[in-house]
Amino acid sequence: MPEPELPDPPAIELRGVRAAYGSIEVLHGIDLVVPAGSIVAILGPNGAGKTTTLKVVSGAMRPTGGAVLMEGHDVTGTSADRLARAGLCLIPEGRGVFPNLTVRENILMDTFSAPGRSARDLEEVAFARFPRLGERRNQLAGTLSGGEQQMLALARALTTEPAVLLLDELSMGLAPTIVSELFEVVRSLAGEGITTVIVEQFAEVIAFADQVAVMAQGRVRTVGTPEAVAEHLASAYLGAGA
Amino acid sequence: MDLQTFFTFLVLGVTISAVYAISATGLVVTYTTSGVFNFAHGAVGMFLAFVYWELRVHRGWPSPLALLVTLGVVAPVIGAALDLIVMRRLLRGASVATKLVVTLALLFAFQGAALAIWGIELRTVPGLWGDRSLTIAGLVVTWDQITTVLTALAVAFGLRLLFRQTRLGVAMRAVVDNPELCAVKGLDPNGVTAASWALGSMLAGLAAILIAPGLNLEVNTLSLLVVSAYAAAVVGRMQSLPATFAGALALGISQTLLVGYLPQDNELVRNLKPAMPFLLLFAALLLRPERRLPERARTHGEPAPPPLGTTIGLGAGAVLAALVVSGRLSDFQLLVGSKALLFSCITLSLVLLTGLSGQVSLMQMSFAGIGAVVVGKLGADVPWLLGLLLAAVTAGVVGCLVALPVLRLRGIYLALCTLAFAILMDGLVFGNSRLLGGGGTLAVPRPDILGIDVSSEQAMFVLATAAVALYANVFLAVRRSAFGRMLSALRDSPTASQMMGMDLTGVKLRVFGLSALLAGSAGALLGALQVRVGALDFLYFRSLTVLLVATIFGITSVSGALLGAGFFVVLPELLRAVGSADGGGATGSQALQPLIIGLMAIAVARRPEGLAGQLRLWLHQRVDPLVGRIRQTRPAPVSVPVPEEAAVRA
Repeated sequence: MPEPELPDPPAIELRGVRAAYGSIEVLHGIDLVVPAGSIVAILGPNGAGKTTTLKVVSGAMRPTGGAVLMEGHDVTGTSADRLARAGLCLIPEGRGVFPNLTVRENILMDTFSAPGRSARDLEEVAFARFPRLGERRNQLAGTLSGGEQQMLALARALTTEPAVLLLDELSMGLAPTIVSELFEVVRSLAGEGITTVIVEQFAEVIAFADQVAVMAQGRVRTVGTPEAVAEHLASAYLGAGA
Repeated sequence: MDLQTFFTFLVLGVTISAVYAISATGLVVTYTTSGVFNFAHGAVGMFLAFVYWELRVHRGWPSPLALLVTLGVVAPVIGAALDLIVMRRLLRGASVATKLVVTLALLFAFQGAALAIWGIELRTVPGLWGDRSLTIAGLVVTWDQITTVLTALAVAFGLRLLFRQTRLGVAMRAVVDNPELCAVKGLDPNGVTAASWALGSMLAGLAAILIAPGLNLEVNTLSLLVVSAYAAAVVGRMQSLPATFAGALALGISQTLLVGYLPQDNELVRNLKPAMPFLLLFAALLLRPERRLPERARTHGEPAPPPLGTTIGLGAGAVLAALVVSGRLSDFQLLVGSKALLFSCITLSLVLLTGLSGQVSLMQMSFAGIGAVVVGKLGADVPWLLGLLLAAVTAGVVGCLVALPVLRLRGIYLALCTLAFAILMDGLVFGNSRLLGGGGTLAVPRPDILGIDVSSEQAMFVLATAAVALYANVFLAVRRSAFGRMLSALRDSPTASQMMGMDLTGVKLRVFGLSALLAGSAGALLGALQVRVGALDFLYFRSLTVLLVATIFGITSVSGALLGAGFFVVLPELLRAVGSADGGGATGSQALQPLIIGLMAIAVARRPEGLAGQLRLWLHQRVDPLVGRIRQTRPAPVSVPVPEEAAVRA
């Protein structure tokens, strides 16, 4: 008799995750399921705990309670570098580049999370998608414009073929045209089946997410389809009664 | 001097430059990868040179094998261990001052360890090629010299290749930029920093082993050779390897030629000779603008100063207590006690400058020395109090003068500059027989204040207590004042202070002047207590020790200064007593003192409040529950728990 087919475990699952900076708890028990291959957007106002959630998922921060699961395996407390080598790609808030390294050297650093791939390989892919980086390959990353730096950071997601992509405030401080160019790349990556979690302070990403989680004050307030969540957004941002 | 001699000096200069360059690149490698300027770099090299001697000479191994084991095994192990045990745990995200103190402490620890293992007798290391040499156009060049220069070139090209072309090298640079991002990119930053410390340690050892045959193998000389490497690294702004090499070349050649061509019979020149690297360091620091390095502000745990009435009352109480107690103590106990009290005064001047204002000074004992020399020179020619006043003012003026050129320096650069100044003072003032008279010591008269004779040990003890009470009150008065708040602001964020319209130059000048004035007058009293002062009393090394001890016990508070100075004075006495009891002799205590101070400083470096602060905390934890229990006998108001987040959901 054939065994009943089990559903794929979610790419990422958070169970009652708590996290604190010193004695101040900022995540008070986060439950979140990110199905494999989906795009989940985490929205919420300043200080809601979105970045901390990503830090916990990526291993940069150890939770004080709860569990983090990747494809059904408990990875709570695993170091960031091991998770990265296992296929988790976090593009951190701000510019995820090394400012005193050249563009090429920045791409060389991406080989640590892509075992067996040469730097030349990665460069080819990155420069094909972002020709501007190719033109500036020997320039220090710190001297690139904000948009170019974000392209360089995002290049890793393109070149290393991660299983899970975590994007923290990709749009911060960038011009709208560049933001739409970057989101275009994200959408095409997601189209290739890469599970994607996007953290944004502003709600524009809602358009192409499969699911939206709204966070406030260290808790997930609502999870649902973009349409279902849209009406809750105002109250999440502005407080109860809005 | 003929051309032949010139070329002989030139060859010597190039060889020395090569050693400086190797050492300096090691310094730059660890600095750029971990952000730690390693004051112990030279001491690590010194230790490795001793290890090489042990294998090569003492155990008679062939030199290639000894070299391979020293540089290929011992050096990387020491470097990686330093990273694992000290740097990684203590220094990630620490302030510049903490890093400085920890590496100074390591310098002490390595020197102490070398003394403990190998003792103080002088040793010689044979050259790699023995005495073999060849003659080129009438010029004798040894194989060792050629090897040294070729090694330096190989190191230069090797490092360039490593940092530009290899993944490990690029990763080393990436860790400096952003260690968290490295982890996110799948790289274990710990492995990379350990590798760079191992490399730094190998380069330190290589430099020391190459230069050792020309010198006696001795703890201090080898540890300090690195100062020229500091200067070279400063020329390279702590990051550019080619500029560091160029700096080393310029320094080595100019130093050798200056020493060769300056008149040998002038005492000033003779005294300046050992200080030459420091002069060049001074010049490099002032001429080469620093690259601003991000500094993290740290919180300081010092309690708010008690009200003026309380502190004056405490001071008066202390003087009264000293009057009562002094009658029951022996002359020796009084002497040690007075010494500890006067060192507290010097430490308090450092608490003001470094603890409160964040200006790291490695020259506090030099200011004290100026005070002692001035009262000693004036002798009985002027009333004692006037002499003290002149000593204080002279030290204060020198403090301001020193501050002038170094005003724009911060953090590690300021520390290096003050160290250079302290060593210059050692050569120019304290090592000057014309100033200090025959035998290198100067008589300082005991005080005679307005006709009252204060020359007995008992009277000196009371006077020293009064001095501490006065100093503590001056320091606390500064802390309570608007000037004190400016100093705190200067420490926490010079940039923000400037934005708010603070005149940084004026504030820095005033605090340097005041601190030097306090240290100078304390030094004058210390001189009077000792009756004779010599060059060794104010050696730059003692300034380092004062800073370390102050840090151990708490560089931000009066209690820290008092405890630290007490420890500084009592520790050698204790070690001497223990040493003579078990026959360990001078070597044992000489080695143990830096080792103990070094290890203690490493242990508490992360806590700016020091042991005194810990003690305060411990007392609070013990006393507060007691107070609570006493209060509990009365009915306490009942607190009603507020339902979690009720306000949010309403």
